[in-house]
Amino acid sequence: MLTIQNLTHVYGNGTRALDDVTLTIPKGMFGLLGPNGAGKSTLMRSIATLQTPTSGAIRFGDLDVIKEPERLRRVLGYLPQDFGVYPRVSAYDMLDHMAVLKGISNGRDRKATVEALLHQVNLWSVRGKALAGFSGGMRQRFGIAQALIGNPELIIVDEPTAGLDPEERNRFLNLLAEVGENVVIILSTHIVEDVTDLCPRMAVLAGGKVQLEGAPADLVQALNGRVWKKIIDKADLAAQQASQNVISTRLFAGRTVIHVLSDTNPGDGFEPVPGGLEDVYFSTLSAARRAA
Amino acid sequence: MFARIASFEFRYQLRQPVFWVVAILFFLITFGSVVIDQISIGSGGNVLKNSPFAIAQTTAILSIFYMFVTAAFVANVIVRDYETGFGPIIQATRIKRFDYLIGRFVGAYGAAALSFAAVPLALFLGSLMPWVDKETFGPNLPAAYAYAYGVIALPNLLLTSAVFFAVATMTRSMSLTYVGVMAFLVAWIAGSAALNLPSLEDFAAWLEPFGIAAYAQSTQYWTAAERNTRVPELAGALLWNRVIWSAVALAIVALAYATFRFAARGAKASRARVEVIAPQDRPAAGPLPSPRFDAATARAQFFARLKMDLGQVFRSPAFLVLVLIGMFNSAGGLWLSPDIYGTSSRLLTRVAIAILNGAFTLFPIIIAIYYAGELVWREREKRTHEIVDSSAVPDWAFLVPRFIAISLVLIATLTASVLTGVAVQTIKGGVPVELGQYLVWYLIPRSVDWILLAALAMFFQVMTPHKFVGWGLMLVYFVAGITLNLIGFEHVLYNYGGVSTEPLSEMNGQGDFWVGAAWMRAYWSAFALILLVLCHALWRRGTETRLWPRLRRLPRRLKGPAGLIMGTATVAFVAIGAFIFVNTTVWNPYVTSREQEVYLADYERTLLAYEETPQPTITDVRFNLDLDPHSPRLRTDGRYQLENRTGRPLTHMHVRWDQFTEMPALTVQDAEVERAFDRFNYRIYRFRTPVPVGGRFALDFRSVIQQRGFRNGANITSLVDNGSFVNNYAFAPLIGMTRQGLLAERTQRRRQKLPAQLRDRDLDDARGHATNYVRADWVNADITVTTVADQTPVAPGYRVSDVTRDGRRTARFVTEAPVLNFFSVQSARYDVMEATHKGVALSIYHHPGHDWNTARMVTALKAGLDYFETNFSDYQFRQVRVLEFPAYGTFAQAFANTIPYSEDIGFVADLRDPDKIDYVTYVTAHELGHQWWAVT
Repeated sequence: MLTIQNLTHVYGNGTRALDDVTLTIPKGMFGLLGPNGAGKSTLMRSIATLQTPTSGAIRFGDLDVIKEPERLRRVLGYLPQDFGVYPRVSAYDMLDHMAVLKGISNGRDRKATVEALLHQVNLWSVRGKALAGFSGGMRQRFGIAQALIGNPELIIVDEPTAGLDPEERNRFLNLLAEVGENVVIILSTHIVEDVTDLCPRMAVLAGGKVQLEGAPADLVQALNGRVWKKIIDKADLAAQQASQNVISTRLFAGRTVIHVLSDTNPGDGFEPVPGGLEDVYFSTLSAARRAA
Repeated sequence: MFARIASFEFRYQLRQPVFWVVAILFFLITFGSVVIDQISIGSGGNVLKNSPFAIAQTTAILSIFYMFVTAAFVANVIVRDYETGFGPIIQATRIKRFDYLIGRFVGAYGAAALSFAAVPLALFLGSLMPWVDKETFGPNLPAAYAYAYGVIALPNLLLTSAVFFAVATMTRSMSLTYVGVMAFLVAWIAGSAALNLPSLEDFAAWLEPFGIAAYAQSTQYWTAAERNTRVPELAGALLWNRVIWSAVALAIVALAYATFRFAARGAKASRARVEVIAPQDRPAAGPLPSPRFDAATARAQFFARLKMDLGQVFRSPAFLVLVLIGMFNSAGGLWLSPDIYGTSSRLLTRVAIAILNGAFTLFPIIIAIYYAGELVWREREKRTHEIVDSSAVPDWAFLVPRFIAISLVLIATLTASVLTGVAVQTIKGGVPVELGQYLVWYLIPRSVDWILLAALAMFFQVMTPHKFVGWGLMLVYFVAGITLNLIGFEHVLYNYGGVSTEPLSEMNGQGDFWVGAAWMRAYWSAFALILLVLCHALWRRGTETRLWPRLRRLPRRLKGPAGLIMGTATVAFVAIGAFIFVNTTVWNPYVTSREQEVYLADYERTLLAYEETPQPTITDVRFNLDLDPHSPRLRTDGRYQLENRTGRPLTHMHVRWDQFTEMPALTVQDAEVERAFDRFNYRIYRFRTPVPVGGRFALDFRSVIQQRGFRNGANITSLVDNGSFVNNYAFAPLIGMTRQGLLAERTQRRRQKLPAQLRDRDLDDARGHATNYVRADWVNADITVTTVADQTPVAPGYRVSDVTRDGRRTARFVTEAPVLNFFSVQSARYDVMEATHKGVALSIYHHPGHDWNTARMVTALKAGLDYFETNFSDYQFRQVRVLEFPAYGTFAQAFANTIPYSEDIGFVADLRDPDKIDYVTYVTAHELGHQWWAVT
């Protein structure tokens, strides 16, 4: 179990990236949703021992992450949002290198690890090629392979599905689901479906604050009967936004589909829709924006 | 559109740090050369520091250095679009290829030209500074500045800008552009060296791209007065040189334009983009092996990191190119090895090492500094740092493998230069290849030196927020080192990596010179270890790059082994430092060149007045020298017989001796010290009763020359394990004051408020006729030299005894008729080649193995004797001896029937090619000629 208490991080330029964040993350997949700039990566990096927060505490089991980062690193698998590769190094060699860094020093163990992971992420056929020539998706799969080395107890994946095509995304999520039952996995993303598909628990982070926390099903349940949909012309959007609590707008066949949140039927052509996690997310964000 | 792009580029470049950093740097370099007397470019002698000539020279030389800067300006123009990925956005606009490429080139060139204006500005401002020596400056001539900037600088900057712009547009790589800079520089150096022949002067004036040869040609016969006031007419070779090379520059820009295409280049597309084959069945995710954290893991992690770091350097193209250029440059130097009158020395290993120290050194320095930056910043630049930093690798695994990797890279680089040396030696032949000498005299000391440099470079990289700042600090370190030395801060204890000089010689090997240097290397190694521990403790692990948070966690990271190592290193640093201080400053005098200058000026001010004071004449000398070459120490007991030939009763006598010689006993018969100038080793004795005309008396002395431990800079080279060579000006007192050894350099004299030059006497001045020009009396000599048993002691005179007893060898030399009072004493393990010619015994005392040219020397002596006896007079001695001394000096010198002769000239000259000038015969015959004409 990972517990985060009153975590605050202020960057040198005064940006308050995390503002008193408190979260408890049990075993299994945990979805961390938030828009760009919400503080997700700062939170991930703080947990991954890459930066020391300004204040607050992070504990993993009985381990104080801030005081003893080296102990956490021994059980950590981390896939950063954005990472590069060394030039002139093949996928196999790089994974082998990462395995050594993560403590798989026995040659036979390492061979087994590297081969199994390369098969699992479907990079076996290109293991001898330089990573620098990999496409974004392949690079991402390499990233998850290195995060899984050495049976980590805490896996942090930061925006892992960005840039993956749907097939690759599926394969990736399946892989996570396989390992994710007995360890803590934090999946940070701005893609709601990732969380819908995988996570028994989730939180929404915006403006450096936790806006919402719970099980997706419960959260969706709470919205039941409160989300209404209407198809309008684009020109009418401003009027609707003025009169209703519009939580999302999207285009469908050239017209604008709006969802509004309301305890009662707003009438005026609105029809009820079964709430989805996306509505939970957008309603939380719009509430946060209004509060700000 | 074109003008807008050019001006946008110009303003963009002006906002870049490189513009300001470079402008400031070149301002400081130039300003320093103007206001610090010791530095001068183009001026000196009677040529003023702000003369048109000096301004043009400074401008030309700095414009060559500036190619590194123009490369940065113009390469950035193109490369930045590819590095930032912004290129496609711009290229998708309606911009024309011409406007884009040439407009930006013009803007960048303009920025480079503007920042170079710091050079004339610094020259001008420097000349106005209140503390400069006004005599070295004239009026500031605006035309001279305009000429230097317009005729010299602008075309030169255009040329280098054009060349590197073309390289950058074609390669689209910053590092390959810098490889191009190195290649251009080496080509220029090699070309200039090849054209540096009088017969090629006209050709060089046209062909040398920076106009230096052309400018030199148009001013070569100018007097100092002309150089101070005139600028050469823009005509002839100078005009055509400028026109031709500007046209070449424009042609190169046109070529770059013609070959440039907006489209992503083919090379990039062809870099096989790997794609996945159809998804395969994969084995189920079974349990993976778990990590272990024990000693075996630490070892594996160390070697994995080391291998990765080594691979990143060794497999980078820049490394290979740097080493190849370095090897190429050294091979050229080795092939042409130093020559006298066009005749090279044999490429002895010692000679090869000296050449490598000159021609190759730049490359390991660049590699140390460049790769320190690359290695420290690699993870961050390649954006692998989040993955690597969050893995369970211990903190030490970031610094230690990198430092060892860069050390191994430097050793490999130096080994490449050794291989170059060995290859050229083998091809040229005629010398033994001494791998042991390469190892001990070159590979080991240079490796330590450059590894120390790499440690400092890494430290700067860890401390600073950007790679370029770290590199810039290294530049500051070099400039500061040079400047500190120039202004009198010369102690190794505060010059990082500073070591005393280690002159090499076949006769004496490394001598004891390595001892002090080894202590100094140990001292700075201890300091480097402290720096490395700090690097470790301040390493940017994670995403925090600011220094302050890293400093805050420093104490915590110093706990444990890191702190222990740092503590031990600190203790070693302090202890070795104390030992070095005792050696260099307590046991031996630490005299900076500035202090020495002041000393000589004070010497002159205090004592030159006694120059005309009449002094007695020495008629007989007896020296008993006791040499311990291994200490080294020379004790001399001596006695002079003197006579009053001044023509009137003598009341006083002036006695002085060498600055670094101790004189524990000195007595003049029937006289007492009236006045002693202890600082100058100068005494005035007063006779109790004046010595009558023709009266004779004695002077007895005991002197000691010695060195205890080691010195800060140059150690004593006259007394060494094998090949001591010392003369009586050092070990015996001198009578009376002369001008010998006073400050001679005009700027130094002026700086010390002395007349710029001491005038020689008028030709008709009778006082000048009273002595010979060496101011040595004619004396009978009786010289006994005792040295170690395995060495041969030699002094002028006929050997009358030679006894070896109790491990000491004593030989006595006496003259049969008066000779000039100027005596050499030598002691070494010699082989002797002997011959007789017309009753004169000829002998060549040489180092075993140095017998390539000894027969030629004998032949030269015979021919010389024949010629001189026929044309001058009979030879006055029955012997003539040539004696080799170590390469610490490069001269031959004649004493009575005795000719000390440097290892570095005749003995190792390579005369296998009969077309080469045989200067061995020339020098030998010349020195023999001195037996007739003024022995000096």
